[in-house]
Amino acid sequence: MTSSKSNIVDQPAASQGRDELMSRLYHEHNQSLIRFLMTRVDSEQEARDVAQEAYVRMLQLHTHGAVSFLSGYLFKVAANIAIDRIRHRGTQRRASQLLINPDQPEATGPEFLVQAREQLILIDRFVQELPPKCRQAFYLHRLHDMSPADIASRLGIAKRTVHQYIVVALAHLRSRLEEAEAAKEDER
Amino acid sequence: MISNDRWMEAADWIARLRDPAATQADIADWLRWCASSPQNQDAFDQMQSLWRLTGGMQEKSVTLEELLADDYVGQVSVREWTTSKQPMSQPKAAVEQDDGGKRIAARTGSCPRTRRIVRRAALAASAAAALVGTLWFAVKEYREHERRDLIVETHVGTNRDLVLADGSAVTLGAGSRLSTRFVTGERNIYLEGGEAYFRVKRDPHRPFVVHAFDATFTAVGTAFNVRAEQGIVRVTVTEGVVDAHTSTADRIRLEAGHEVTVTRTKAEPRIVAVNTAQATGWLNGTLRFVDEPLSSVIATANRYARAPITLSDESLGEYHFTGTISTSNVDEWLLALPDVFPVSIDYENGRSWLIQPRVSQAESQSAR
Repeated sequence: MTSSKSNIVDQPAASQGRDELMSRLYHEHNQSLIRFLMTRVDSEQEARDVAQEAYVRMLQLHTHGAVSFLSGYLFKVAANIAIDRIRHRGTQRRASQLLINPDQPEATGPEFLVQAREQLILIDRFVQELPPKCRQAFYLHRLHDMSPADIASRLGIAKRTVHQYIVVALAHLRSRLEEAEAAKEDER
Repeated sequence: MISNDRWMEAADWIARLRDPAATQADIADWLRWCASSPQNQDAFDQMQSLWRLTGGMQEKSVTLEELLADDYVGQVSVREWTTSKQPMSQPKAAVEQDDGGKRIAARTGSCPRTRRIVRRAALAASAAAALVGTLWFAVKEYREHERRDLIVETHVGTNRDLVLADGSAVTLGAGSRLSTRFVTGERNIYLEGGEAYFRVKRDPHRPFVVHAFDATFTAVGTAFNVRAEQGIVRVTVTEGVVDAHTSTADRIRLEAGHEVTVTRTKAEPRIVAVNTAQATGWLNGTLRFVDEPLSSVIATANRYARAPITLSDESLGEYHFTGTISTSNVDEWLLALPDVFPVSIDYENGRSWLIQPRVSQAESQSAR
Protein backbone atom coordinates (compact mmCIF):
# COMPACT_ATOMS: atom_id res chain seq x y z
CA MET A 1 0.00 0.00 0.00
CA THR A 2 1.63 3.27 1.00
CA SER A 3 5.38 3.52 1.57
CA SER A 4 7.11 5.33 4.40
CA LYS A 5 7.36 8.47 2.25
CA SER A 6 4.91 11.21 3.23
CA ASN A 7 2.02 11.64 0.85
CA ILE A 8 2.13 14.81 -1.18
CA VAL A 9 -1.39 16.15 -1.17
CA ASP A 10 -1.33 19.86 -1.77
CA GLN A 11 1.10 21.79 -3.91
CA PRO A 12 1.09 25.57 -4.43
CA ALA A 13 0.43 25.05 -8.14
CA ALA A 14 -2.60 22.90 -7.31
CA SER A 15 -4.36 25.66 -5.39
CA GLN A 16 -3.86 28.14 -8.22
CA GLY A 17 -5.29 25.60 -10.65
CA ARG A 18 -8.24 25.22 -8.33
CA ASP A 19 -9.05 28.94 -8.44
CA GLU A 20 -9.02 28.84 -12.22
CA LEU A 21 -11.30 25.84 -12.11
CA MET A 22 -13.73 27.64 -9.82
CA SER A 23 -13.75 30.66 -12.08
CA ARG A 24 -14.61 28.51 -15.08
CA LEU A 25 -17.25 26.78 -13.06
CA TYR A 26 -18.85 30.09 -12.22
CA HIS A 27 -18.83 31.46 -15.74
CA GLU A 28 -20.18 28.35 -17.35
CA HIS A 29 -22.74 27.25 -14.81
CA ASN A 30 -23.85 30.04 -12.52
CA GLN A 31 -26.95 30.98 -14.51
CA SER A 32 -28.16 27.41 -14.67
CA LEU A 33 -27.37 26.98 -11.00
CA ILE A 34 -29.53 29.95 -10.06
CA ARG A 35 -32.36 28.63 -12.24
CA PHE A 36 -32.10 25.24 -10.63
CA LEU A 37 -32.07 26.69 -7.12
CA MET A 38 -35.14 28.76 -7.86
CA THR A 39 -37.14 25.53 -8.11
CA ARG A 40 -36.19 24.88 -4.50
CA VAL A 41 -36.10 28.28 -2.76
CA ASP A 42 -38.54 31.13 -2.74
CA SER A 43 -36.67 34.06 -4.22
CA GLU A 44 -33.89 34.86 -6.62
CA GLN A 45 -32.03 36.59 -3.82
CA GLU A 46 -32.10 33.44 -1.74
CA ALA A 47 -30.98 31.43 -4.77
CA ARG A 48 -27.99 33.76 -5.13
CA ASP A 49 -27.18 33.45 -1.44
CA VAL A 50 -27.26 29.68 -1.61
CA ALA A 51 -25.15 29.65 -4.78
CA GLN A 52 -22.57 31.88 -3.13
CA GLU A 53 -22.36 29.58 -0.14
CA ALA A 54 -21.97 26.62 -2.47
CA TYR A 55 -18.95 28.20 -4.19
CA VAL A 56 -17.40 28.94 -0.82
CA ARG A 57 -17.80 25.31 0.22
CA MET A 58 -16.34 24.06 -3.03
CA LEU A 59 -13.28 26.22 -2.45
CA GLN A 60 -12.79 24.66 0.97
CA LEU A 61 -12.70 21.12 -0.29
CA HIS A 62 -9.52 19.43 -1.39
CA THR A 63 -10.99 18.24 -4.64
CA HIS A 64 -9.49 17.93 -8.04
CA GLY A 65 -11.02 16.90 -11.29
CA ALA A 66 -12.59 18.09 -14.48
CA VAL A 67 -15.07 20.95 -14.55
CA SER A 68 -17.65 18.50 -15.87
CA PHE A 69 -17.39 16.48 -12.66
CA LEU A 70 -17.24 19.49 -10.39
CA SER A 71 -20.25 21.20 -11.96
CA GLY A 72 -22.40 18.20 -11.11
CA TYR A 73 -21.06 18.27 -7.59
CA LEU A 74 -21.68 22.02 -7.34
CA PHE A 75 -25.39 21.47 -7.95
CA LYS A 76 -25.44 18.81 -5.24
CA VAL A 77 -23.72 20.99 -2.67
CA ALA A 78 -26.09 23.85 -3.51
CA ALA A 79 -29.14 21.59 -3.25
CA ASN A 80 -28.01 20.40 0.19
CA ILE A 81 -27.52 23.96 1.41
CA ALA A 82 -31.03 24.83 0.21
CA ILE A 83 -32.48 21.84 2.07
CA ASP A 84 -30.72 22.84 5.28
CA ARG A 85 -31.98 26.40 5.05
CA ILE A 86 -35.56 25.31 4.54
CA ARG A 87 -35.29 22.81 7.35
CA HIS A 88 -33.99 25.41 9.78
CA ARG A 89 -36.51 27.97 8.80
CA GLY A 90 -39.39 25.58 9.26
CA THR A 91 -42.21 25.28 6.79
CA GLN A 92 -44.12 28.40 7.68
CA ARG A 93 -44.71 30.52 4.68
CA ARG A 94 -45.86 34.08 5.00
CA ALA A 95 -48.08 34.83 2.05
CA SER A 96 -47.48 38.55 2.34
CA GLN A 97 -43.77 38.06 1.80
CA LEU A 98 -44.42 36.22 -1.41
CA LEU A 99 -46.72 38.90 -2.73
CA ILE A 100 -43.95 41.45 -2.48
CA ASN A 101 -41.49 40.16 -5.03
CA PRO A 102 -38.03 41.63 -4.37
CA ASP A 103 -36.82 40.44 -7.78
CA GLN A 104 -39.09 42.79 -9.65
CA PRO A 105 -38.31 46.24 -8.25
CA GLU A 106 -40.82 47.87 -10.58
CA ALA A 107 -43.58 45.63 -9.24
CA THR A 108 -44.13 47.13 -5.82
CA GLY A 109 -47.08 49.39 -6.55
CA PRO A 110 -50.56 48.66 -5.24
CA GLU A 111 -51.64 47.33 -8.67
CA PHE A 112 -48.99 44.63 -8.48
CA LEU A 113 -50.05 43.59 -4.99
CA VAL A 114 -53.65 43.48 -6.09
CA GLN A 115 -52.78 41.42 -9.12
CA ALA A 116 -50.73 38.92 -7.11
CA ARG A 117 -53.46 38.68 -4.48
CA GLU A 118 -56.05 38.09 -7.17
CA GLN A 119 -53.92 35.39 -8.70
CA LEU A 120 -53.54 33.65 -5.35
CA ILE A 121 -57.30 33.68 -4.86
CA LEU A 122 -57.67 32.09 -8.26
CA ILE A 123 -54.93 29.58 -7.52
CA ASP A 124 -56.66 28.54 -4.30
CA ARG A 125 -59.88 28.05 -6.22
CA PHE A 126 -58.22 26.08 -9.02
CA VAL A 127 -56.33 23.88 -6.56
CA GLN A 128 -59.71 22.84 -5.10
CA GLU A 129 -60.54 21.48 -8.54
CA LEU A 130 -57.72 18.95 -8.31
CA PRO A 131 -58.59 15.33 -7.47
CA PRO A 132 -58.12 14.72 -3.70
CA LYS A 133 -54.88 12.71 -3.69
CA CYS A 134 -53.37 14.97 -6.33
CA ARG A 135 -54.27 18.03 -4.26
CA GLN A 136 -52.91 16.50 -1.08
CA ALA A 137 -49.66 15.55 -2.81
CA PHE A 138 -49.34 19.07 -4.19
CA TYR A 139 -49.86 20.64 -0.74
CA LEU A 140 -47.41 18.23 0.87
CA HIS A 141 -44.75 18.90 -1.72
CA ARG A 142 -45.24 22.65 -2.10
CA LEU A 143 -46.13 23.79 1.42
CA HIS A 144 -44.49 21.12 3.55
CA ASP A 145 -41.43 20.40 1.40
CA MET A 146 -42.07 16.69 1.58
CA SER A 147 -40.13 14.57 -0.90
CA PRO A 148 -42.05 12.57 -3.54
CA ALA A 149 -40.76 9.36 -1.95
CA ASP A 150 -42.21 10.33 1.44
CA ILE A 151 -45.48 11.49 -0.08
CA ALA A 152 -45.72 8.14 -1.89
CA SER A 153 -45.31 6.30 1.43
CA ARG A 154 -47.77 8.53 3.17
CA LEU A 155 -50.52 8.20 0.57
CA GLY A 156 -49.83 4.56 -0.22
CA ILE A 157 -49.14 5.17 -3.90
CA ALA A 158 -46.23 4.84 -6.32
CA LYS A 159 -43.60 7.56 -6.49
CA ARG A 160 -44.17 8.03 -10.22
CA THR A 161 -47.84 8.78 -9.45
CA VAL A 162 -46.76 11.51 -7.04
CA HIS A 163 -44.57 12.96 -9.76
CA GLN A 164 -47.45 12.81 -12.20
CA TYR A 165 -49.73 14.55 -9.70
CA ILE A 166 -47.33 17.48 -9.38
CA VAL A 167 -46.98 17.82 -13.14
CA VAL A 168 -50.72 17.61 -13.73
CA ALA A 169 -51.44 20.10 -10.94
CA LEU A 170 -49.06 22.67 -12.39
CA ALA A 171 -50.42 22.14 -15.89
CA HIS A 172 -53.97 22.58 -14.62
CA LEU A 173 -53.19 25.76 -12.71
CA ARG A 174 -51.42 27.27 -15.69
CA SER A 175 -54.21 26.40 -18.06
CA ARG A 176 -56.92 27.79 -15.77
CA LEU A 177 -54.98 30.98 -15.06
CA GLU A 178 -54.54 31.52 -18.78
CA GLU A 179 -58.27 31.11 -19.28
CA ALA A 180 -59.01 33.55 -16.49
CA GLU A 181 -56.58 36.05 -17.99
CA ALA A 182 -58.21 35.68 -21.41
CA ALA A 183 -61.67 36.16 -19.88
CA LYS A 184 -60.51 39.37 -18.22
CA GLU A 185 -59.15 40.61 -21.54
CA ASP A 186 -62.53 39.96 -23.15
CA GLU A 187 -64.25 42.02 -20.48
CA ARG A 188 -62.11 45.05 -21.18
CA MET B 1 -47.43 30.49 -28.48
CA ILE B 2 -46.23 27.79 -26.16
CA SER B 3 -47.81 24.43 -26.92
CA ASN B 4 -49.54 22.27 -24.34
CA ASP B 5 -46.85 19.64 -24.70
CA ARG B 6 -44.16 22.16 -23.94
CA TRP B 7 -46.00 23.33 -20.81
CA MET B 8 -46.20 19.70 -19.70
CA GLU B 9 -42.50 19.25 -20.30
CA ALA B 10 -41.69 22.39 -18.33
CA ALA B 11 -43.88 21.21 -15.45
CA ASP B 12 -42.21 17.82 -15.63
CA TRP B 13 -38.80 19.47 -15.30
CA ILE B 14 -39.87 21.50 -12.28
CA ALA B 15 -41.02 18.32 -10.58
CA ARG B 16 -37.89 16.41 -11.54
CA LEU B 17 -35.49 19.10 -10.37
CA ARG B 18 -37.27 19.49 -7.07
CA ASP B 19 -37.03 15.81 -6.27
CA PRO B 20 -34.25 15.26 -3.70
CA ALA B 21 -33.43 12.09 -5.63
CA ALA B 22 -32.53 14.13 -8.73
CA THR B 23 -29.17 13.01 -10.08
CA GLN B 24 -26.50 14.91 -11.90
CA ALA B 25 -27.65 13.15 -15.06
CA ASP B 26 -31.13 14.65 -14.56
CA ILE B 27 -29.64 18.13 -14.25
CA ALA B 28 -27.52 17.61 -17.35
CA ASP B 29 -30.62 16.45 -19.28
CA TRP B 30 -32.51 19.51 -18.10
CA LEU B 31 -29.73 21.84 -19.23
CA ARG B 32 -29.75 20.18 -22.64
CA TRP B 33 -33.52 20.59 -22.90
CA CYS B 34 -33.27 24.31 -22.00
CA ALA B 35 -30.54 24.86 -24.55
CA SER B 36 -32.39 23.08 -27.34
CA SER B 37 -35.00 25.83 -27.78
CA PRO B 38 -35.59 29.36 -26.44
CA GLN B 39 -39.25 28.41 -26.08
CA ASN B 40 -38.25 25.67 -23.66
CA GLN B 41 -36.38 28.19 -21.57
CA ASP B 42 -39.34 30.54 -21.69
CA ALA B 43 -41.85 27.86 -20.72
CA PHE B 44 -39.64 26.79 -17.84
CA ASP B 45 -39.27 30.35 -16.53
CA GLN B 46 -43.02 30.90 -16.65
CA MET B 47 -43.73 27.62 -14.90
CA GLN B 48 -41.13 28.60 -12.35
CA SER B 49 -42.98 31.89 -11.67
CA LEU B 50 -46.20 29.98 -11.23
CA TRP B 51 -44.48 27.59 -8.88
CA ARG B 52 -43.23 30.45 -6.75
CA LEU B 53 -46.67 32.02 -6.63
CA THR B 54 -48.18 28.80 -5.32
CA GLY B 55 -46.09 29.23 -2.17
CA GLY B 56 -48.80 31.59 -0.96
CA MET B 57 -51.54 28.97 -1.21
CA GLN B 58 -53.96 28.52 1.65
CA GLU B 59 -54.04 24.86 2.50
CA LYS B 60 -57.49 23.33 2.87
CA SER B 61 -57.20 19.88 4.34
CA VAL B 62 -58.32 16.89 2.34
CA THR B 63 -60.55 14.45 4.22
CA LEU B 64 -59.84 10.75 4.55
CA GLU B 65 -63.16 9.95 2.85
CA GLU B 66 -62.15 12.03 -0.14
CA LEU B 67 -58.79 10.28 -0.33
CA LEU B 68 -60.33 6.82 -0.11
CA ALA B 69 -62.89 7.56 -2.82
CA ASP B 70 -60.28 8.95 -5.19
CA ASP B 71 -59.19 6.78 -8.11
CA TYR B 72 -57.33 9.37 -10.16
CA VAL B 73 -53.75 8.50 -11.07
CA GLY B 74 -52.87 11.34 -13.41
CA GLN B 75 -53.47 9.53 -16.69
CA VAL B 76 -55.80 12.20 -18.02
CA SER B 77 -55.92 15.95 -17.56
CA VAL B 78 -57.79 17.31 -14.54
CA ARG B 79 -60.35 18.82 -16.90
CA GLU B 80 -61.19 15.46 -18.40
CA TRP B 81 -61.36 13.84 -15.00
CA THR B 82 -63.72 16.59 -13.77
CA THR B 83 -65.95 16.11 -16.83
CA SER B 84 -66.12 12.37 -16.29
CA LYS B 85 -67.25 12.92 -12.70
CA GLN B 86 -70.25 15.08 -13.59
CA PRO B 87 -73.58 13.46 -12.71
CA MET B 88 -75.17 12.70 -16.05
CA SER B 89 -78.89 13.11 -16.68
CA GLN B 90 -78.72 11.30 -20.02
CA PRO B 91 -76.31 8.57 -20.91
CA LYS B 92 -73.71 9.82 -23.37
CA ALA B 93 -72.67 8.03 -26.52
CA ALA B 94 -69.32 6.35 -26.44
CA VAL B 95 -66.72 9.09 -26.53
CA GLU B 96 -63.02 8.89 -27.08
CA GLN B 97 -60.84 11.94 -26.97
CA ASP B 98 -57.33 12.14 -28.14
CA ASP B 99 -55.40 14.93 -26.49
CA GLY B 100 -51.67 14.52 -26.80
CA GLY B 101 -51.98 10.82 -26.18
CA LYS B 102 -54.51 11.02 -23.32
CA ARG B 103 -57.88 9.40 -23.67
CA ILE B 104 -60.96 9.08 -21.54
CA ALA B 105 -62.63 5.72 -21.41
CA ALA B 106 -65.49 5.11 -23.80
CA ARG B 107 -68.82 5.41 -22.09
CA THR B 108 -71.71 3.15 -22.90
CA GLY B 109 -75.44 3.78 -22.43
CA SER B 110 -75.54 2.10 -18.97
CA CYS B 111 -77.14 4.05 -16.17
CA PRO B 112 -74.45 6.08 -14.40
CA ARG B 113 -76.37 6.09 -11.11
CA THR B 114 -76.30 2.31 -10.82
CA ARG B 115 -72.61 2.34 -11.54
CA ARG B 116 -72.01 4.83 -8.74
CA ILE B 117 -74.01 2.82 -6.20
CA VAL B 118 -72.13 -0.37 -7.01
CA ARG B 119 -68.92 1.56 -6.76
CA ARG B 120 -69.78 2.93 -3.34
CA ALA B 121 -70.48 -0.56 -1.99
CA ALA B 122 -67.20 -1.85 -3.29
CA LEU B 123 -65.48 1.12 -1.74
CA ALA B 124 -66.96 0.48 1.68
CA ALA B 125 -65.63 -3.06 1.61
CA SER B 126 -62.19 -1.97 0.55
CA ALA B 127 -62.16 1.07 2.82
CA ALA B 128 -60.57 -0.86 5.66
CA ALA B 129 -57.87 -2.23 3.41
CA ALA B 130 -57.40 1.17 1.81
CA LEU B 131 -57.06 2.74 5.25
CA VAL B 132 -54.20 0.42 6.07
CA GLY B 133 -52.77 1.22 2.67
CA THR B 134 -52.77 4.92 3.34
CA LEU B 135 -50.72 4.43 6.49
CA TRP B 136 -47.03 3.76 6.16
CA PHE B 137 -46.64 0.05 6.56
CA ALA B 138 -47.41 -3.10 4.60
CA VAL B 139 -48.72 -6.24 6.31
CA LYS B 140 -47.20 -9.52 5.14
CA GLU B 141 -47.53 -13.10 6.37
CA TYR B 142 -44.59 -15.43 6.73
CA ARG B 143 -44.42 -19.04 7.80
CA GLU B 144 -45.96 -19.58 11.23
CA HIS B 145 -42.82 -19.34 13.33
CA GLU B 146 -41.67 -16.23 11.48
CA ARG B 147 -45.10 -14.64 11.61
CA ARG B 148 -45.12 -10.90 11.95
CA ASP B 149 -47.85 -8.39 12.70
CA LEU B 150 -46.03 -5.52 11.12
CA ILE B 151 -43.03 -4.91 8.89
CA VAL B 152 -41.64 -1.47 8.21
CA GLU B 153 -38.80 -0.57 5.93
CA THR B 154 -37.49 2.92 5.43
CA HIS B 155 -35.91 4.49 2.37
CA VAL B 156 -32.33 5.68 2.33
CA GLY B 157 -32.16 9.23 3.60
CA THR B 158 -35.40 9.47 5.60
CA ASN B 159 -36.20 8.68 9.20
CA ARG B 160 -39.75 7.56 9.95
CA ASP B 161 -41.93 7.98 13.02
CA LEU B 162 -44.41 5.27 13.91
CA VAL B 163 -46.66 4.16 16.74
CA LEU B 164 -46.89 0.46 17.51
CA ALA B 165 -50.06 -1.43 18.41
CA ASP B 166 -49.40 -0.98 22.14
CA GLY B 167 -48.89 2.76 21.88
CA SER B 168 -45.09 2.69 22.02
CA ALA B 169 -43.41 5.25 19.78
CA VAL B 170 -40.57 4.36 17.46
CA THR B 171 -38.40 6.52 15.26
CA LEU B 172 -36.86 4.30 12.62
CA GLY B 173 -33.67 5.50 10.97
CA ALA B 174 -33.12 5.67 7.25
CA GLY B 175 -32.41 2.45 5.37
CA SER B 176 -33.64 0.36 8.29
CA ARG B 177 -36.06 -2.50 8.74
CA LEU B 178 -38.16 -3.40 11.73
CA SER B 179 -40.91 -5.92 12.38
CA THR B 180 -43.09 -6.78 15.35
CA ARG B 181 -44.95 -9.73 16.83
CA PHE B 182 -47.08 -8.99 19.83
CA VAL B 183 -48.41 -11.99 21.76
CA THR B 184 -50.15 -12.36 25.12
CA GLY B 185 -47.15 -12.23 27.41
CA GLU B 186 -44.64 -10.41 25.27
CA ARG B 187 -44.14 -7.60 22.83
CA ASN B 188 -41.45 -8.68 20.36
CA ILE B 189 -39.69 -6.23 18.09
CA TYR B 190 -37.09 -7.31 15.53
CA LEU B 191 -34.61 -4.71 14.38
CA GLU B 192 -33.39 -6.43 11.25
CA GLY B 193 -30.89 -3.72 10.35
CA GLY B 194 -30.24 -0.02 10.87
CA GLU B 195 -31.19 2.06 13.86
CA ALA B 196 -34.29 2.82 15.93
CA TYR B 197 -35.18 4.89 18.95
CA PHE B 198 -37.90 3.43 21.17
CA ARG B 199 -40.16 5.16 23.68
CA VAL B 200 -41.82 2.20 25.34
CA LYS B 201 -45.35 2.37 26.69
CA ARG B 202 -45.33 0.93 30.17
CA ASP B 203 -46.94 -2.50 30.47
CA PRO B 204 -45.64 -4.67 33.34
CA HIS B 205 -47.59 -7.70 32.03
CA ARG B 206 -45.90 -7.58 28.66
CA PRO B 207 -42.18 -6.90 28.51
CA PHE B 208 -40.99 -5.05 25.43
CA VAL B 209 -38.25 -7.17 23.85
CA VAL B 210 -36.07 -5.89 21.02
CA HIS B 211 -34.22 -8.58 19.07
CA ALA B 212 -31.10 -7.57 17.14
CA PHE B 213 -28.78 -10.21 15.70
CA ASP B 214 -28.25 -12.71 18.53
CA ALA B 215 -29.06 -10.42 21.42
CA THR B 216 -32.26 -9.32 23.09
CA PHE B 217 -32.99 -6.17 25.04
CA THR B 218 -35.93 -6.11 27.41
CA ALA B 219 -37.63 -3.05 28.75
CA VAL B 220 -40.72 -2.45 30.84
CA GLY B 221 -41.22 1.28 30.41
CA THR B 222 -38.19 3.10 29.14
CA ALA B 223 -36.61 4.99 26.25
CA PHE B 224 -33.61 3.58 24.44
CA ASN B 225 -31.72 3.56 21.17
CA VAL B 226 -30.69 0.43 19.27
CA ARG B 227 -28.25 0.37 16.40
CA ALA B 228 -27.64 -2.88 14.49
CA GLU B 229 -25.04 -2.74 11.78
CA GLN B 230 -22.62 -5.32 10.41
CA GLY B 231 -23.23 -7.81 13.18
CA ILE B 232 -22.63 -5.27 15.91
CA VAL B 233 -25.43 -4.05 18.16
CA ARG B 234 -25.18 -0.93 20.25
CA VAL B 235 -27.88 -0.01 22.74
CA THR B 236 -28.01 3.32 24.55
CA VAL B 237 -30.52 3.84 27.33
CA THR B 238 -31.84 7.36 27.75
CA GLU B 239 -34.54 6.66 30.35
CA GLY B 240 -35.24 3.80 32.73
CA VAL B 241 -33.60 0.38 32.61
CA VAL B 242 -32.97 -2.19 29.90
CA ASP B 243 -31.87 -5.80 30.46
CA ALA B 244 -29.58 -7.22 27.79
CA HIS B 245 -29.20 -10.94 27.06
CA THR B 246 -26.44 -12.06 24.75
CA SER B 247 -24.86 -15.35 23.78
CA THR B 248 -21.91 -14.69 26.08
CA ALA B 249 -23.55 -13.00 29.06
CA ASP B 250 -26.57 -14.01 31.08
CA ARG B 251 -28.04 -10.71 31.94
CA ILE B 252 -26.63 -7.23 31.75
CA ARG B 253 -28.58 -4.47 33.43
CA LEU B 254 -28.27 -1.21 31.60
CA GLU B 255 -29.25 2.06 33.20
CA ALA B 256 -29.99 5.46 31.73
CA GLY B 257 -26.88 7.24 30.51
CA HIS B 258 -25.16 3.97 29.59
CA GLU B 259 -24.46 2.06 26.45
CA VAL B 260 -23.57 -1.53 25.65
CA THR B 261 -21.93 -2.81 22.49
CA VAL B 262 -22.40 -6.45 21.54
CA THR B 263 -20.22 -7.97 18.86
CA ARG B 264 -20.31 -11.38 17.27
CA THR B 265 -17.10 -12.44 19.00
CA LYS B 266 -16.94 -14.29 22.28
CA ALA B 267 -15.83 -11.15 24.06
CA GLU B 268 -17.79 -9.77 26.99
CA PRO B 269 -20.02 -6.93 25.92
CA ARG B 270 -18.62 -3.52 26.79
CA ILE B 271 -20.61 -1.09 28.89
CA VAL B 272 -19.75 2.59 28.94
CA ALA B 273 -21.26 5.76 30.30
CA VAL B 274 -22.13 8.10 27.45
CA ASN B 275 -23.61 11.42 26.48
CA THR B 276 -27.00 10.12 25.38
CA ALA B 277 -27.80 13.27 23.39
CA GLN B 278 -24.91 12.44 21.09
CA ALA B 279 -26.03 8.84 20.64
CA THR B 280 -29.48 10.00 19.55
CA GLY B 281 -28.18 12.85 17.42
CA TRP B 282 -29.33 10.98 14.31
CA LEU B 283 -32.91 11.87 15.25
CA ASN B 284 -31.97 15.44 14.38
CA GLY B 285 -29.68 14.75 11.47
CA THR B 286 -26.29 14.35 13.16
CA LEU B 287 -24.44 11.03 13.11
CA ARG B 288 -21.83 10.86 15.81
CA PHE B 289 -18.97 8.38 15.96
CA VAL B 290 -16.36 7.76 18.62
CA ASP B 291 -13.40 5.64 17.63
CA GLU B 292 -15.52 3.61 15.25
CA PRO B 293 -14.19 1.40 12.44
CA LEU B 294 -14.59 3.11 9.08
CA SER B 295 -16.47 0.08 7.71
CA SER B 296 -19.18 0.62 10.30
CA VAL B 297 -19.19 4.39 9.74
CA ILE B 298 -19.67 3.86 6.01
CA ALA B 299 -22.45 1.33 6.62
CA THR B 300 -24.33 3.95 8.65
CA ALA B 301 -23.51 6.82 6.30
CA ASN B 302 -24.87 4.76 3.42
CA ARG B 303 -28.29 4.82 4.96
CA TYR B 304 -28.34 8.58 4.46
CA ALA B 305 -26.13 9.04 1.40
CA ARG B 306 -27.63 10.08 -1.91
CA ALA B 307 -25.24 7.79 -3.77
CA PRO B 308 -23.84 4.55 -2.32
CA ILE B 309 -20.29 4.54 -0.93
CA THR B 310 -17.94 1.58 -1.10
CA LEU B 311 -14.45 0.83 0.14
CA SER B 312 -12.19 -0.54 -2.58
CA ASP B 313 -10.22 -2.42 0.03
CA GLU B 314 -11.45 -4.15 3.20
CA SER B 315 -8.38 -3.04 5.11
CA LEU B 316 -9.49 0.58 4.73
CA GLY B 317 -12.42 -0.30 6.95
CA GLU B 318 -10.10 -0.73 9.86
CA TYR B 319 -9.24 2.94 10.20
CA HIS B 320 -10.95 4.33 13.28
CA PHE B 321 -13.00 7.48 12.94
CA THR B 322 -14.15 9.98 15.54
CA GLY B 323 -16.38 12.83 14.44
CA THR B 324 -19.77 13.77 13.11
CA ILE B 325 -21.57 13.49 9.79
CA SER B 326 -24.57 15.58 8.91
CA THR B 327 -27.21 13.30 7.36
CA SER B 328 -28.01 15.89 4.72
CA ASN B 329 -24.37 16.35 3.74
CA VAL B 330 -22.82 12.92 3.62
CA ASP B 331 -21.13 13.69 0.30
CA GLU B 332 -19.29 16.66 1.73
CA TRP B 333 -18.00 14.64 4.66
CA LEU B 334 -16.82 12.05 2.21
CA LEU B 335 -14.96 14.55 0.06
CA ALA B 336 -13.16 15.86 3.13
CA LEU B 337 -12.10 12.36 4.21
CA PRO B 338 -8.71 12.56 2.43
CA ASP B 339 -7.80 15.23 5.00
CA VAL B 340 -8.09 12.64 7.74
CA PHE B 341 -6.98 9.33 6.21
CA PRO B 342 -4.66 8.44 3.35
CA VAL B 343 -7.48 7.82 0.90
CA SER B 344 -8.79 9.30 -2.30
CA ILE B 345 -12.41 9.57 -3.33
CA ASP B 346 -13.71 8.75 -6.79
CA TYR B 347 -17.14 9.33 -8.17
CA GLU B 348 -17.92 6.45 -10.48
CA ASN B 349 -20.08 7.03 -13.57
CA GLY B 350 -22.28 9.45 -11.67
CA ARG B 351 -23.73 6.68 -9.58
CA SER B 352 -21.55 5.78 -6.63
CA TRP B 353 -18.56 6.78 -4.54
CA LEU B 354 -15.43 4.72 -4.16
CA ILE B 355 -12.89 5.16 -1.38
CA GLN B 356 -9.45 4.01 -2.41
CA PRO B 357 -6.04 4.04 -0.82
CA ARG B 358 -4.30 7.22 -1.85
CA VAL B 359 -1.29 7.01 -4.06
CA SER B 360 1.10 9.93 -3.57
CA GLN B 361 2.14 12.11 -6.50
CA ALA B 362 5.75 11.07 -6.11
CA GLU B 363 4.84 7.38 -6.15
CA SER B 364 2.63 7.65 -9.21
CA GLN B 365 5.31 9.60 -11.06
CA SER B 366 8.04 7.11 -10.29
CA ALA B 367 5.72 4.33 -11.47
CA ARG B 368 5.71 5.80 -15.01
